[in-house]
Amino acid sequence: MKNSAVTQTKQSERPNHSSTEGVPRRSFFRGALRRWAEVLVSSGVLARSVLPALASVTGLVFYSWMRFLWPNRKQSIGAWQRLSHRSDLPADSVDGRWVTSHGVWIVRRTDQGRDRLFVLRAACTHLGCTTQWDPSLRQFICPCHGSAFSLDGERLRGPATRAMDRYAVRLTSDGFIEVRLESTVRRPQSEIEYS
Amino acid sequence: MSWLAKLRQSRVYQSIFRVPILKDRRHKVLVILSTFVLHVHPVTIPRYALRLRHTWCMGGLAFFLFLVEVVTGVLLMFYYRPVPGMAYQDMWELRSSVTFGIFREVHRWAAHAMVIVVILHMLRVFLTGSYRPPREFNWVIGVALLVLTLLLSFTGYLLPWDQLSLWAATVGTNMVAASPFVGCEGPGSQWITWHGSPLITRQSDLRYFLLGSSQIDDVALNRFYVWHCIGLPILMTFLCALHFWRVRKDGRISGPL
Repeated sequence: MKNSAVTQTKQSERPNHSSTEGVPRRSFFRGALRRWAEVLVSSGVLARSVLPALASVTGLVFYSWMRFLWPNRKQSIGAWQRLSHRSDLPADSVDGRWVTSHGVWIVRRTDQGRDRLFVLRAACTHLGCTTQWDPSLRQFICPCHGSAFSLDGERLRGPATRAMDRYAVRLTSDGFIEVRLESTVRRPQSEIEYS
Repeated sequence: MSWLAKLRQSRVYQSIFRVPILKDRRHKVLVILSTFVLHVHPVTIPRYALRLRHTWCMGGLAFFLFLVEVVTGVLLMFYYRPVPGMAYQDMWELRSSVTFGIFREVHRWAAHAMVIVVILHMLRVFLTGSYRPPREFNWVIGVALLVLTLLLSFTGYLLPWDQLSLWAATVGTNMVAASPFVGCEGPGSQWITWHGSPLITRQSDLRYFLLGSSQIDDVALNRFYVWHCIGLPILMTFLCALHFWRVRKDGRISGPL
């Protein structure tokens, strides 16, 4: 049993710890280990490097799990969603604050004695790029292929072949604009009188 | 170190670790034997067993990959729906829209790695003659674990529900249909009759049982899903526990006997 278990050494064969002639190997290593631990603690390496490294690895693992499980759906489709308040929109203006999150332009159109509100789907009807509002031309321009739409969403220039889509919109009694992103609707139902 | 002593005297600590940590060998053994987390470890280990060259850690790596598969697989179950028309879309959304959707790729690559590692583990055991008595039964359990690994791979391969997986499952289950006695197209199945009419038909053979149907459709997808996520992992866990226990009982890890 030349190379058998370390721990199987008999009590009688163990080095005498109380002996003063030289330090036994085992207690030497134990002492060295303890000294290393003390240096790690007292120098601050443990607190500064080891523990933060362990904590960040553990944190990253748990964060990735929780972030994976956290759904990425931005809106519950089909529900009325409260966006701007009517006082946010000056006359004849385009509200672009909901393009990134909800993909819509909210438009207040004031002309010919009428004050109308409607919500345009920001995606171009050609290939779905997000349209950009050009305030000087007063047109929605698609950056991908140059389609242009009027403030009403009517098609002015191709390659898009039809007008921008609209979503159903309503005003609550306390003046909030609510939109339903479930499906696009035809023009008459998609406009409300602002006044 | 007074807080440590205080912790060791606390009721919570003592309810978990029943035996105090003492220096002598008998108590060291007791601590390991009486603590569930520690009892997976052997009390003592031969020095030569620590050599990397003896095992290349292949068994431990295979088990580690199994744990990776369990963790990532449970995560994937939160998004994947085993229904035609949704399965492929869910798989694709995991790759494109879900944050940290790379868990899907981790699951896939760990599965490939697990098959390779299990085979290498088997090769090592074979080349070192470690299948010989008294370890012969553990070799048998190991073969069963290899079969389970391959079955898990096969059932998981159908779940993305694309052309590759559809035809892989078609070929695989057609091979079952060609098996002797249990498959309707296999040799010997025509001899199994009841009052002159055949018992093993297209509607009653092993392939039909595996698919729950005579072709690969929504029923088959659901069956493969349940086998992949519940049935086979439970068998795998049970056999792994048996395998590890036998390693300990059959003369400890990686040593000549």
